[in-house]
Amino acid sequence: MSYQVLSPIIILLAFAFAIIIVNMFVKSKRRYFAYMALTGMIISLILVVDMAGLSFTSAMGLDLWDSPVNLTFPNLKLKVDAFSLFFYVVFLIAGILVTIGSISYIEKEEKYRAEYFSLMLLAVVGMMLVASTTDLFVLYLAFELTSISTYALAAFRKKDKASAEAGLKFFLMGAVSSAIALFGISIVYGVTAFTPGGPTTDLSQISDALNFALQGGIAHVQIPIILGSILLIAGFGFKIAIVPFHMWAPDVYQGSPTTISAFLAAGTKKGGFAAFFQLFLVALIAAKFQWGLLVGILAVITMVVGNVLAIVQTDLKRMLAYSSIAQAGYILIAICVGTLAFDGDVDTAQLAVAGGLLHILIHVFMKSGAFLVVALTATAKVGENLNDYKGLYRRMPIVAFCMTILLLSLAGIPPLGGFFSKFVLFSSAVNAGGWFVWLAVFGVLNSALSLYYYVRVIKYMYILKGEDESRVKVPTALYVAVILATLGVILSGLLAEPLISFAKAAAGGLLGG
Amino acid sequence: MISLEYELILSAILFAIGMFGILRRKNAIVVLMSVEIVLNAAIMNFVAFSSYAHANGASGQVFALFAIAVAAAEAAIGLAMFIVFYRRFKTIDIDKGSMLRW
Repeated sequence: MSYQVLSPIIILLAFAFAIIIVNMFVKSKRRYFAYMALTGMIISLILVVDMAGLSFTSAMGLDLWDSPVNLTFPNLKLKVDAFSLFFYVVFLIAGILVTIGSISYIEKEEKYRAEYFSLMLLAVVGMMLVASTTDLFVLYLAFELTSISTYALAAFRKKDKASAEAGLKFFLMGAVSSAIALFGISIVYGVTAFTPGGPTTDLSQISDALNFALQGGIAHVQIPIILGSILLIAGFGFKIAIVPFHMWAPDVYQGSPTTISAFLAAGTKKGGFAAFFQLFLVALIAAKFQWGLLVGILAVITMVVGNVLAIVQTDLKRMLAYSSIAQAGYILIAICVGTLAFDGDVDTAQLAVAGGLLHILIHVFMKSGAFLVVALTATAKVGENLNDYKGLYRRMPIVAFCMTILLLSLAGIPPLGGFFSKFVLFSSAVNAGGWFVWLAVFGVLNSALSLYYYVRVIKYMYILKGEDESRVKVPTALYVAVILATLGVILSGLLAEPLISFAKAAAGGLLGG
Repeated sequence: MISLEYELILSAILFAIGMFGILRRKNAIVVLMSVEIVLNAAIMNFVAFSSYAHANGASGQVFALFAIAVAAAEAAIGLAMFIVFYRRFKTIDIDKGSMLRW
């Protein structure tokens, strides 16, 4: 078997442990560990892009594997296909941007730097396993790997009161949601125990078993399935912060070190979406009449609540946290419309899932970029409140310009990446017809609403006069990360066409298998 | 032999007790204990279903072992987090953290 397709994951694991081991011997090199983590992730990203068939080797016909790779390892409960490769790219980009930013952000913490980067690599590994697993229980375990790493990262600034409180809140919410999700998994497992396939947690076998049970194979099976679905929505809904399970997100994003907020919003949340896609569009799709409408309603509530509460925020990290909640609502549309695959309308479902995946990818650039701008202004002693951004244009012109691009993309202004992903997402909902159209309607209305608070920041930066208008020295590494994220947003707008076909291939991998 | 219903009722009661503790109690350690009770309810479910299934039931018992390991890891990091919180706030009452409010 060609286990080398798992090498992106193995390399990250090796680097994570190598950092810890090197830390035992080397204490003095100041930025050593960041560069190690960065090297690991870049090697991993190059391999992933190569496997997806997007690089030189496949263009020249030198590939060692079919591209895109499509391999299943039944004993490991793992699968590497277009869907998981897409998410590998998402997680690695989030990891790389945040690691670059961290080089200058955590300068002040001399201690525990090795642990910081090692935990971040482990969190990325956990999310990659979530995206490529074929088993519900392994999905839970992989998610726990991510969660436990990120709990420690959120409380990384031990001396800081806000960070300690954010860590505690994040841990308690995460532990409760994991326990609820595990209870839901146990109920689904229990339903499958009485089907001909026997008890199973394999995602596609669960789908077959639920189909059998709902076709009349088991009497009174409705209630356990509804209960299991609700518990799973609640459990994983906490992780991706959909309303009504969103209360922790603004607190945690505000209190954590800002680079970690970027990682949580851009990385970990996407891991939750990988789990959501696997769970609801593969395992539970046979029970879609039991949960479809509920997820649709939650999507609408999430968008509205996220955007409305974002308007009243004056702390930028909090505002971005609520905007991130709203974006989760948009992505949930993909899951609702994706259920059409079960009725045979695979084309619409594939388009919807592709739109969702594309939005996830572009959201990584937009959101991590925006959080890193906040980290940058905080490190440069400008502050992270809206009022501190008055006249930012004169103090750091390029950063203000980057922030403008990122915010406009978050709002979905045409030439930028955020527009195309939202367009694909909403148009698939309109194509689907029925009550899905309302999802698109609410999505568009909410995008208009969100424009208000994004443009307000731009107004503060460009139009209002600040008290202090002297130029500020910008920390280099954060500067690089912000510019990379901005380039990502601009390029994803220019390269929308190939990205959509990449996302469609990924969606096909999810719905086909 | 005890029928499956009794085991499920027990796990449902454990789940309810755990959720009550999570929603009601303010002491972080008690909340963590309540979380462990909910986890134990899920673990009981796995074991019960696997032993009453028609065939091929060993998987549930394996899951129970893994879930116990995860619970232990979670408790370890949780208690460390409580110590950090206690050093800053001199309490582990989760309502006393007052930095982050909207």
